[in-house]
Amino acid sequence: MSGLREDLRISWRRLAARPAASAAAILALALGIGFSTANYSVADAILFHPLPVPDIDRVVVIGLRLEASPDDFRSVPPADFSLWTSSSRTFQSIAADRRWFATFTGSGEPLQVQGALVNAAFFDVMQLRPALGRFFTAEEEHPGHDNSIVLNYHLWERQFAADPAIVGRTVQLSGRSFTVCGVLPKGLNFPRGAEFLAPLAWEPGAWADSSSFVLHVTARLRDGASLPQARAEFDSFTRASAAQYPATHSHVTANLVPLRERASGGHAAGYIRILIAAVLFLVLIACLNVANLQLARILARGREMAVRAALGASRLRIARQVLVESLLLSAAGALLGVLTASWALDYIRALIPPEFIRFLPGWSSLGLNRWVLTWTALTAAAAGILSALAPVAWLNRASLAPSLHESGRSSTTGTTRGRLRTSLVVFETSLAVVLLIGAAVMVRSFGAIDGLDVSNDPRQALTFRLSLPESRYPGSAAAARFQNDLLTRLQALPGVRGAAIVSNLPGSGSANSAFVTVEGRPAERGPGAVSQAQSISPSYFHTLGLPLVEGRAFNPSDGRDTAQVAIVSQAFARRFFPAASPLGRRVHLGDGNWLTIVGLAADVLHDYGDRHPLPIVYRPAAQFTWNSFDALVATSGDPSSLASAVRRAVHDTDAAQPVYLLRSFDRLLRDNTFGIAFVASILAALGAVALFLSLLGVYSVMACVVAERTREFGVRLALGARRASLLWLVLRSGLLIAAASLLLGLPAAFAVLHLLRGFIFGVSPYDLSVFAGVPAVLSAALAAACLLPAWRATRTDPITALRYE
Amino acid sequence: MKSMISLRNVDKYFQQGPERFYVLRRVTLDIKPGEFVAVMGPSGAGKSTLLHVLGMHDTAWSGEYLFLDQPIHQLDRKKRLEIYKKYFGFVFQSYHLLDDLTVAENLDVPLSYRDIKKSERQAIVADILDRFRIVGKKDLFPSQLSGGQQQLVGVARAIVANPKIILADEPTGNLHSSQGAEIMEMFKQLNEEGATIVMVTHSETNAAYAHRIVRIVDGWIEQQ
Ligand SMILES: Nc1ncnc2c1ncn2[C@@H]1O[C@H](COP(=O)(O)OP(=O)(O)OP(=O)(O)O)[C@@H](O)[C@H]1O
Ligand SMILES: [Mg+2]
Repeated sequence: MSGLREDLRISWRRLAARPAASAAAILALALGIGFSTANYSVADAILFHPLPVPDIDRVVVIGLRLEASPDDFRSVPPADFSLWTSSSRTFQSIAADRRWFATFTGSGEPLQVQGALVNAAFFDVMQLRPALGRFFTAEEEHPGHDNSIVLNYHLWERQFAADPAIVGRTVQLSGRSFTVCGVLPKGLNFPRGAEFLAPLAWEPGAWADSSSFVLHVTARLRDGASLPQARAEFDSFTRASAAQYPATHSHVTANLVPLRERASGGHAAGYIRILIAAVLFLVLIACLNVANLQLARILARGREMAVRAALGASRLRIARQVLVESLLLSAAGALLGVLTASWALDYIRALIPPEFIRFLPGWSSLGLNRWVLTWTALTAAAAGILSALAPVAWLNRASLAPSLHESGRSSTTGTTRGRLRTSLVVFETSLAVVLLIGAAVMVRSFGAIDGLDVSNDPRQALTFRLSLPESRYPGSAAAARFQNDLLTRLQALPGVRGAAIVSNLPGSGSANSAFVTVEGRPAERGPGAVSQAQSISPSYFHTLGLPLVEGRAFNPSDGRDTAQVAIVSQAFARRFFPAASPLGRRVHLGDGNWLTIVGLAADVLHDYGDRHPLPIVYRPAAQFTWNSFDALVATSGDPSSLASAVRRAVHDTDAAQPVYLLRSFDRLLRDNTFGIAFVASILAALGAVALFLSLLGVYSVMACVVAERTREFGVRLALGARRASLLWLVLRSGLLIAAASLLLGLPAAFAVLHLLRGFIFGVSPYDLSVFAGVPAVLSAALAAACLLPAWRATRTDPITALRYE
Repeated sequence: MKSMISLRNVDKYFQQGPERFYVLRRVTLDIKPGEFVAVMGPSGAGKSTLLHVLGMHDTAWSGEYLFLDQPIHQLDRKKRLEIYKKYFGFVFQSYHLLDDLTVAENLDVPLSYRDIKKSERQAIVADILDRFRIVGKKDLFPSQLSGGQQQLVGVARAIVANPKIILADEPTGNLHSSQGAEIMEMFKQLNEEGATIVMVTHSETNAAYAHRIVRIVDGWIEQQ
């Protein structure tokens, strides 16, 4: 081991002797390792350790999907849940939960809190221990006994200042009293967004309902049972349900997904995998950079190394020396990388709006924890070894050259090592091409989905959501009256151009859907018979800026006692009435209530994930009233200046009604595309770093090349070369590197984007502007990186160059 | 006859610490068109330096240099380059072949800097390979040649662009005597066809081909 200590000492001396090259190598590694560490910690929070649940890989979420669409994931009717709990042999416990927006009263302003109703099996499935108190039991799931609630840690901290005396306290939720019986462990933010859990207490009859798709199901696999076995079992369950309830369950099958995949929302796991792949690219790019710098370092001692290597015995020793140098560099890179990562994490934390954090269960544990630091250490070690690989391989081959040419005259190794170095930098740059193109497509995609095709500017509109409790507003007439009163007040506000109610705003991420039956045709229940259903106030189209193509808008006289009417979207008309105008035709939405179509509205993309506008049927909110709805207020200036007036209008309509999610419409749209924005901005940062690293690589290779070719440039000048021709000579090799990298990188990028097409919305994955723009930018940047070395080449003084011997 | 090359009081020195180390002292030299001059002197005397001054590779000196009445010491780099390309061919003492180019490609380099069409260049290279009897070596790299063969290529490269004046720094230093004689015969023939030749040599035999011998010692020209 004393040899190792000596190696370390010598390595240190050598690295210190060439501070610029060492600094470049450490910078490359610090960036590569730093960004990979930051991203790994995001991955850790969202994918690897999203929840503090023991054996999380045994926990599965179960939804329903249409046979035709594998990515579909729908909530489950109580009847299915009942069948599964009574019959499943592959799961040891199965839990159901349902979202509950409750109004929390008693301490100042009424507060809208999202919670969940769960059955007691939930605690078995999660295998949790309370941070405080106890969880509720199966006895408390029965109506009349369901008075206990469990708070999550976050709500307990935020609303009750982490008071340990909370257990036993009584709180008011939507007009009902509950006793707090316990607090969930820290970091358990599940079901997503829920801040408290109350018992899911239904009358036994309610559990037979097969048509309300409302429950979220989680389950823990029994010991010895596997996910494929469970899937097979659930296939048989859904086949039975399809036979039993053909109206609602035909073509419907179960979708069983590991909890880890969905804990942070639909696309999150996929996006995280994209980021991890991007980061591995980046680390590889950094390694190739360092390999090249190491190679140059060794070549600078070329003769000595070659002679030593020729002696045979010291070859291993030289390899070890190189490895120690590389590991030393990567250790320094890792130290700086951790600093880079903590800085990058601050940036990433700032990217996420606070109200989103509830939906990312693991976010509270984001940071440089032990898993993340282990990853850092492993990457650094791998980077050290990887970057030593090429130089060591070269040494092994190079050892033959001087023994063949005893005289030690100039040999052809000049070209071979040049080729090796060029291939390394070409490989590096082609990886950067893939990363850049991927990032650019993501950024374009985000830009494309950010907008909505309506004529009123979303930046000049305010939105909020209301949820009228059934206890205060029994029956739809009361809710409709509330909506009318509210709209009257809102429209009277100065600066308001229009106000409207809609069950779910486009871009809000939620939608109601229904099976459509057309008069005179048999009832269909396939996926092709589904339409979104919206309940709107007459002012909706005008307020949103969505044109009516044909027919009439709703008007205040379309009331509870007049004929039931509907307006349909163009996509609806294309789907259900491809041949003729839908006006005057009648449809019903599964309940047998015939609606006469009186208008045709332009299409609007409700959710960017849909890619194409889906059919929508609009009904007057007065004829079909939802207790939960979005309000949209079009303003003539900055909408935020109206926020307090809007709050007051709601307060004046019903003082007990909290306003939920008050924000500009523009903000709502951006919030909904937040995941892809997040990924796009991180990928853009990674792409920029990759570009920088490959420029650094090209620059250092060119600088070496120019230094090595000084004599050649001198000879050429002495033979009559113009200095501009030397400039071109160097620039040309830079452009050749760019061309070769593009030749390799573009097809690879094409293939990668083909794999990622499911995550790209609004633009083609093979977007022409990206596939043309990135090569142009890259070539220009590479040429720029060659300029300084090239300029140095033209400064060659022939007489000193020719003196080189 | 008027001089082709005319040096007046050319001084060249290297600064070594506080001291100036002179390599050329008040060199005054005239070379007429069509002359064949041998430059001789001990090692380190400044022969190569003189040749590089003549060949305009070295411009860091003081004094006057007239080439066909043009004041080289006053011309800018571009003008000098033009003159060089038009008139000069240079044989380097240490060959200075380009390692990454084959023999044929090395011979093509001076032509490529002189606005000559590709097809014509190929013909010229073929011709010169033939004249030096190295056709068989045309695709080899310099590292695959012996020292003497490299020197032969160096000489061939100097005359490939048909220069009016050939500056040759020990063109036969590494050659077998019969090969050396062959080169000398070639120089003699080129000289008879009109080329001016300035050749550094240690060999009295080679010097005998010249019309005139210029001796240089410690940077001083010995006047005859
Ligand atoms: N860059 C330099 N710095 C200092 N001295 C130099 C430099 N280049 C050349 N010299 C000196 O200039 C003197 C003349 O060198 P030059 O190459 O002209 O000699 P030479 O007559 O060609 O010798 P040889 O017959 O060995 O080729 C030598 O003493 C040499 O050491
Ligand atoms: Mg010399």
